[in-house]
Formats: sequence, C-alpha cells, structure tokens
Amino acid sequence: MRLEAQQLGYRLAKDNWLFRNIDLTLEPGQITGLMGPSGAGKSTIARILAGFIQPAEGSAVLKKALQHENRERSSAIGGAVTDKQGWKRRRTDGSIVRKPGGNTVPYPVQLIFQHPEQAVNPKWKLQRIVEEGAKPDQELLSLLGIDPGWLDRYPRELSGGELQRCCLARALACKPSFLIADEMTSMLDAITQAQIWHAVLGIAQQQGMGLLVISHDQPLIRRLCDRVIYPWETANENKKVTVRG
Amino acid sequence: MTVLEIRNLSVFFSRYYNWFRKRTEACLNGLELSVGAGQLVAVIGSSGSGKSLLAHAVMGILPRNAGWSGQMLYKGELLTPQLQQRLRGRELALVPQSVSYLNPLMQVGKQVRMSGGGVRSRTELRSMFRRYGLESQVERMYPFQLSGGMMRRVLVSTATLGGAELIIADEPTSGLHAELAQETVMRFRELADEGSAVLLITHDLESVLPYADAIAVLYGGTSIEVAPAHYFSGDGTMLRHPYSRALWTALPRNEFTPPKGKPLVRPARSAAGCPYREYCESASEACRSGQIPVRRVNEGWVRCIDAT
Ligand code: SF4
Repeated sequence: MRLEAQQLGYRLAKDNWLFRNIDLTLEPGQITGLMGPSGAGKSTIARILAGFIQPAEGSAVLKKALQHENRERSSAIGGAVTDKQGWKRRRTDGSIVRKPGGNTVPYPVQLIFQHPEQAVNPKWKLQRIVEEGAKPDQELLSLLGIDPGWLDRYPRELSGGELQRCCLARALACKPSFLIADEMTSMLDAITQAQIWHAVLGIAQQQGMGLLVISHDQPLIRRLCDRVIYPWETANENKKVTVRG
Repeated sequence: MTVLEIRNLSVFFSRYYNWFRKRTEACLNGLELSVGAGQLVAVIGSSGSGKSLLAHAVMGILPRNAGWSGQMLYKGELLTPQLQQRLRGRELALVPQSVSYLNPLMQVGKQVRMSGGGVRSRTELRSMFRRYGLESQVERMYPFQLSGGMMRRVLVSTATLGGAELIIADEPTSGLHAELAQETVMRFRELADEGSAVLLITHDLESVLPYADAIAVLYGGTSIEVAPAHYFSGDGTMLRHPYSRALWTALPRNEFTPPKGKPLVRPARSAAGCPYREYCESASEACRSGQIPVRRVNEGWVRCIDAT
C-alpha cells in the first residue's frame, strides 16, 4: 500500500494559504523524514494524512497494488473526497472511523501527537483508551514497556512518557499501514525516546508499516530515516515552473 | 559566590484517601544542588522526576497540600517563606513552563511591567522588549494574539526585567522549534554572563549542553549526579552515575540505544535506596536501603555506591 498526496493545499482564511502544491509519497516499510520551515504546516499535513482534517485542495489516497490485474486500486483518505468514499471524520482523541453503514474500523493511517495528554479522553481509564481501535495483544504492550497496572488508571496518573507509550499501543493495535509521528518523543528524555523508537522501528519492520517522522531534532531524523523529504522546496519549484510556463 | 544552595531538599504531598486516611508521598527526596553567580546550571530530568517541584520549592509557590524539609540558602541566608516573598519577582525570578501564568485578559506590556509586584517604567519595558526582538505593538497585545515563540519571549522578559540575581526557568524551550529554542537558551547564557545565577530545568540535554557550565541530573526525585558540562562528551566515561551514562548513550547522535535489560520506565518509588536500582547493572543489596551517600569527585559529585 502506498500513500500519495497530491497538490495539497490548506488555508487558514479565504486568501490566507498555509501551504499549496504539496506533493508527497510514502512507501510501505520506508521511514521518511519530513522537514520544512517552522510554521509551514508540518503538523497540518500530518493531520490531513491521518484524516483528521480535510485539505482545501488536493487529495491524499492510499493505493493498493492489485497483483493480478496489474492495476492499482486507490481509496481516498482525508481529502475532499473523503465523504464520497465513506470515511467519516475522526474524533481527535480516537483511532477509529465510521464506515458507511455505521460499523467502525481502525483507520489505516495513525497519528501520534507531541502531547499525549491532549490525545486521550481524560475521563477514560487507560484500558478503554488503548482498546479504542482494536485490542492490543500482550506482546505489543510489553514491547512498548507498558506495565499492565497502568491500564487500570486514568491518564492524569501517568507521566508523559507512560502516556505516550499507551497512545502508541492504541495506534499500533490497529495495525496501520502508515504511522505518522509528529514530534512524538520531543517532550521525552533521551532514554525513553530511544526505547520508544526502538520498539516502533521493530514493529514497523515486522509489519511492513511505513513511517513519517516529523521532528525538529536533526540527529534524530538522521538516525531514523531512510530518506528525508522537503515538500515545501518542491512546491516552490512547481510554482516557479507554472509562472514561467 | 554561591547564590543558591539546596541541601537535602524533600518535598512531599499529603493526600486524603477515603475519609480520614492521610497518605504522604515524597516527590523530591534529598535533593542537593548549588548554583553560583555567573553560572548556568542545567537540571536534566525526565517527566515525573520532580523537576518542576524543584522550581516551585525555591520560589515558595508549592501547592497547599505540599510540605518540604531540608535547607535552601540564598546567598548564605536561609530561604524562609518571608524571604521568598520579599525576593520573588525581584531578585528571584521564575520563567514558568506554562503560558497559563499570563493573565489572558491583560495586555502583555502591562503584565510584564507589573510582574512580581513592582511596577517598572515604560522605557525599561521598551528596552527589554527590544532586546528580545519584540516590537513595541506587542506591549498592547493580549496573550491570545501572540505566537508561541513571542509568548515564550514575553515570559523570559517578564522574568528578567527586574535584573534578577537568580533565574529559574522551567522547560523554557519546550514547544519551540529548533532555532528559537537555541536562541532562548542563548539568552539565558547571556543573563548568566551578566552575573545572574541561572537554573535551567529541562528534559532536553542536547539543547542546553553547549551553553551550560554544569549539568545536574535528576532521577526519581533526587539529584544523582552533578558534573561539568564537558563530562558529557566522547563515550561518556567521565560520567560517574550509570543513569547519566545511559542518558548520554541514548542520544540520537551517540548510540541511540536504551540501557540493556528491562525497559526503563519508572524509578523505584520508595524513599530508601537508589531510585535506579531496578535497572542498574551494578546494583547490589546495599543499593536497596538507606540513603545512598553523596560522593564528591573532582569537579562534581555523584550519588552511587558503585562510583569510584
Ligand atoms: S550501583 Fe547501586 S547506587 Fe549505583 S546506580 Fe546502581 S543501583 Fe544505584
């Protein structure tokens, strides 16, 4: 499965574009770093790809190669075509979406935020939170270093690092095709950061999951990523080409 | 000159369970720390290490249900609640972690001038804002009109307007992008160079390392090692505490590997013994009980039985 975003644009007000002409492709099993100037809308792109918000223009699609027919089938995610395809908008604190007909399914693109405490329902116990999309198996929980005792607690009783591990369990239990990590560990100390990333990289490799890493931390990006993309630069080049043409 | 010296500081909370049962929980435990004039000491701790409580204890703004024991000395004088109140906002300044310390209904210029009880002149404010690259119209803005970076600069200027002698910054770079984070730490360096004593509390070792004189590592509510910043270099063998070394090794620019063994999640909670004992490869029976003594080594000190 490949994730392709084309000509994404997002605006804050009628003539105030946060960005336009953003193209990017994520391959399965590949770890991609996303770099761009601060305030350029990296987190907004993450939210579009994960289907939380819709772009003003352009589209993001998941393409599945159909081997027999030598053709591709795409299903839109996020994007203006979302509703036609039947995906309903997600809740910000959840990992599931409603398909037409009312049954819920885990979303194929999962997003991990910088601040886990803003991504969970404070009134739910962790047990309910981590099982929101699908039930994580014991192996996943122990890989992420989650103590079974936490599941009986409320989010405010856990530290930031502990809560982020739980958010990861919730997302990874859904067996997503892509995981987007938006400053996932930038609030955490170096040891917790290394642990969490080692667990995630192992799971990604095992499941052929693609990763998009957004981080201000250059050494981290260099450590993790197979490739780094700069969609804003390409967007500017595109603009120049159109002007010239 | 030593501006702040903290000896054996413990902070505990009493909470009521059921109706009458009261339980006391220690959140800081025998913390030791000192910072001198012209020095920038970075306090490094993971979430849940009690690092914000340290700031609040020094400022005298702990929550009501918290108590503390130990000694805090400000320029050799015992830091009592009365003294804290007298110094707060003047000689003693806090750059809070959360922007919620700003009053959302008051223009920021006014807030900065009134911070800490005293009222500062417009010209003073203007020159301070200029120094932090804030334009004069920012003075009349309300907090919600500021971007994250501007807000942070306003907070820093709030704390530094009065020419404070001791500045405590609690996670001043969190939520800032790389350049701005660096710029912020550099400002604190400047303030130290001008003679202030600066305690910079953060989880982000990498961002403060180039500017700090010394690093104090916090773990499980206590300071486990204080070392000159240059000890964090090479393969980290100059560091004495296993946790400090693990922290250094885990940085993306170094090995990027967590310590071997079980995943390091929570420090041991009990007051006795070493908070790192569950994860430490050299842990022995002696690490389980009593208070682990502080051992002075060349330019710093360490709290580990095994350290040489
Ligand atoms: S050797 Fe003992 S005292 Fe030293 S870090 Fe390990 S457990 Fe703590």
